Amino acid sequence: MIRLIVGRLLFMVPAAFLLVSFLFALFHLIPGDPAVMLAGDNAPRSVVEGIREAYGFDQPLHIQYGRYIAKVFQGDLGISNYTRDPVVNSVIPRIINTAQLAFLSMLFAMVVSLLLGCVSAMYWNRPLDKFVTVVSLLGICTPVFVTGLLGIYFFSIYLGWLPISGMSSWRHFILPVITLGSFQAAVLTRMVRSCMVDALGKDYITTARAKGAPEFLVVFKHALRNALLPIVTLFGLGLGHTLGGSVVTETIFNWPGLGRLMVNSILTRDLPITQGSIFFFAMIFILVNLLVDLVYAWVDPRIRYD
Amino acid sequence: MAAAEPLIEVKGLKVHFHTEDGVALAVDGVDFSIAPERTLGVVGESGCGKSVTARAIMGLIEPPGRIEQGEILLHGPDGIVDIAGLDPRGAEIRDIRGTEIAMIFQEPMTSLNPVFKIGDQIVEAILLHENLSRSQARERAIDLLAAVGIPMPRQRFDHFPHQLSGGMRQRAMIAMAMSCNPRLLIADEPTTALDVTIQAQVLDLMNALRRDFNTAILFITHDLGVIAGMADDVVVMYLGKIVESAPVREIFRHPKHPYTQGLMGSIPSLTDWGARRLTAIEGVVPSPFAHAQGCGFAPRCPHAMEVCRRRSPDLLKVGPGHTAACFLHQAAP
Amino acid sequence: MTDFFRRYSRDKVGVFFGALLLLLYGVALTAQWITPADPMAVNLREVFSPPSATHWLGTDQFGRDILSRVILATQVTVKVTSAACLFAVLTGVPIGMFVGYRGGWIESVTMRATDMLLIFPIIMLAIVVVVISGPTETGVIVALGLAQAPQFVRITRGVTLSIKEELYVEAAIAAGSGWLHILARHIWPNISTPIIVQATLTLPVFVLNASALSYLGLGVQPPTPEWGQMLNEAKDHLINAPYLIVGPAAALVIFVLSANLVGDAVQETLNPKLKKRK
Repeated sequence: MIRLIVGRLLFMVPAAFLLVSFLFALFHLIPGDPAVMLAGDNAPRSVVEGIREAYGFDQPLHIQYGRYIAKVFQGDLGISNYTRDPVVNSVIPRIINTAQLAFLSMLFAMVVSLLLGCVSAMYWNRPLDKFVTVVSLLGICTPVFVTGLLGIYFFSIYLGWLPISGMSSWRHFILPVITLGSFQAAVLTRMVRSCMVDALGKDYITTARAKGAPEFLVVFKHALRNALLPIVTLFGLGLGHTLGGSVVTETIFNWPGLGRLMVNSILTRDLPITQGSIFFFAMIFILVNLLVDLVYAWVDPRIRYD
Repeated sequence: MAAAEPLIEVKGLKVHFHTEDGVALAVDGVDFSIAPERTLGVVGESGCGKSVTARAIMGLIEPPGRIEQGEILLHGPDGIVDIAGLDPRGAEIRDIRGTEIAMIFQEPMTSLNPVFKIGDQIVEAILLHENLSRSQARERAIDLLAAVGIPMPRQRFDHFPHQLSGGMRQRAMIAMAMSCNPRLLIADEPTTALDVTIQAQVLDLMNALRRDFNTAILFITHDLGVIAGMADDVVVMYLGKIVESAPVREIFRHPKHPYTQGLMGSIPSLTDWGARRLTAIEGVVPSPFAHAQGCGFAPRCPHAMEVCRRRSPDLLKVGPGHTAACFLHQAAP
Repeated sequence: MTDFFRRYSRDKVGVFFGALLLLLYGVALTAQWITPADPMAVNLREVFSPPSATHWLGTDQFGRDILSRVILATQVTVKVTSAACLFAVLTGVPIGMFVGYRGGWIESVTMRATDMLLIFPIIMLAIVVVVISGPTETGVIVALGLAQAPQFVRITRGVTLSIKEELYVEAAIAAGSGWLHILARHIWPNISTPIIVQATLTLPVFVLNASALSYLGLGVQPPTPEWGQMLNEAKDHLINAPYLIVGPAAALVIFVLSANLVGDAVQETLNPKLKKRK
């Protein structure tokens, strides 16, 4: 177990290094002169040259690279082209907003999918199961921006119950969380169901029934505890996808999160912010992945005790 | 067979599986009974319906399977219950499972839940039926582990199934099955998946437990050699039907049904090796979906007569406590 | 092949949605000729007209006919997603075959890299690539293709590894055939089916991500219509013209639903065991 943690933490070092290298490469991969891009398209020549010198774009590549790496590891990801604030300052609060949205959505998705998936597997091939299957199929075919727009129209405009955008009260959370969460819930319900159907077909389920265990104990203790192994992985992947989906959801509901910051920075060609958001997103994904591996190891006694 | 009241009676049991490919007559009219503290061996090739019969007795037939006909009468102190008529997910059958009838399975590797400690799995079985505290149940489980010959039961209690060998797991399964003193233990090929030396140990253990716990056993196997050492009575099944039934010595001395004879012919014997060749039964078990006329064994039977292909023989008396379903031993109608 | 169609035709759901998907592809191929009005024609006298006999799905803020725009968007989507899928196959499959066949450090490095990429959601990878390739039709194709390529690398490597152990491949190696020859003559014919199935199964993912990119404004740029982008524009007029979302949303959902169900049906036809477990 400890070896696993250390191994995975060590894996983060080359991953972070590759990531920063990629961010550096972005300066030169993006078409156009990086100095012009940082200065803004209509900046006077003197400003452009000033930036070129300040960023060292006139230096050989390996020196630029060394400087960039050094800066990033000191926590300096540059300055926004527009607000002129350090990137880190604008990114960090956004991370918290995104984390709130993604966490609540994932919680919603987990609760719904576990319930629906287990019930569906319990009533396998019967009308209730078929109904859940059709609903979850429709769910995975409906992108979040369609659900979101329908939600806004119905609950905010037609009924007037919920705010359209922003995140200033708990009522602002309802639509975005359900929009993002229900898509994930649909994806996960299908997977939980198939894991549970799988687990319910195992020999130890017969053993549990042969003991005289009541059906709910058979399903929610014996089967679920085993299905949890693949389900934990799926939930981990789901958390990643929820974070991915948060980019779109944040745009729909004007959520001041990291995803919207990233998209806006791309649209306004604010490269340092783009780099910063990519950096933090990537680090979050790597961390989530690490966390999933650990939870997985913890859930499976065959890994935990060997 | 003891004249006393039987423990369990199976009468005219039919279990069918309704699948996309048709209806499989897995168990097609089976009658037998087991007296208290006796061991009945059920022999047959895989697919003959012996495991399905066992599951029917436990009330564990799941869709697409269904008990179509027949009764499974469990005689208890409070009267007779027909298991075939109970809801397989209901409370009544759950009170029977584990307490009255317990079961162990062929695959000790997969029959224990991999994510729970073996001790806790036994404790669960105890607590489901008996009003004990957790620590009392724990002590009982440790005693049971010791009783089935697991060394260091206190330590083993906290082990997970993957930390035990196959033989040890089967012992743990047996401990779990015996945890509430069942009156009938169903053993579905309990030694098939084990090494030969371990097999013998597990069989010895079961014989010892049978005496200590006064349990009747329904012992299912495809291995006649195992039956010889375990059973009091033997039932031979073929294609969902009983083809021969007799006390164990009788059936080994005077097998009447060609199928039983065929099974005997395929056991290697240490005493006459080289003297005779092992004979295999020609052909394969027909599909249970093909509901052909006549005796199910006729296509493979070396003595098949014309009548065998037309009609199905009844199970008739051919000796003391000995019945067989074969026209060779019956006046042709 | 005829056997495949015979067995597929038994799946009623698969046949129905297969027909629907073919219809959508037909619409895409003939979009230029079947639009009831010019999808680009601005008509400022007819802005925000609700659905009517002349404009079945209404008109947008520039008075453009929504139905015509949805039809043209179908073409754009089909073009972009088909090309992206092809791009993913053309980059992922050769790499997967090569590293799966060669093994050694090249394989472990490549697989480490794909594993690393696979922890990122596709939409994220696509967004990052778009930053470089630009929000043009080609840029989106490259972005979506590259974002999905790691999956194809992984699957191709898996099936290549199993085929590599077959006797006829070993015989070919023993006979001194070159690796390119072996890959093309012995391995590719045997792995093409699972890869085609995989491509079918991922088609809806391409469609969802393409429309998400364009919803974000990082996809095909206006005035070329795309479902996601039409929905993004419709959002600003939800109060006075909610009908604007009906056309693109319905088209998108029906397309993804059909593609999903066809993918499932193809997979079940080729591998009937899957159906029993479901």
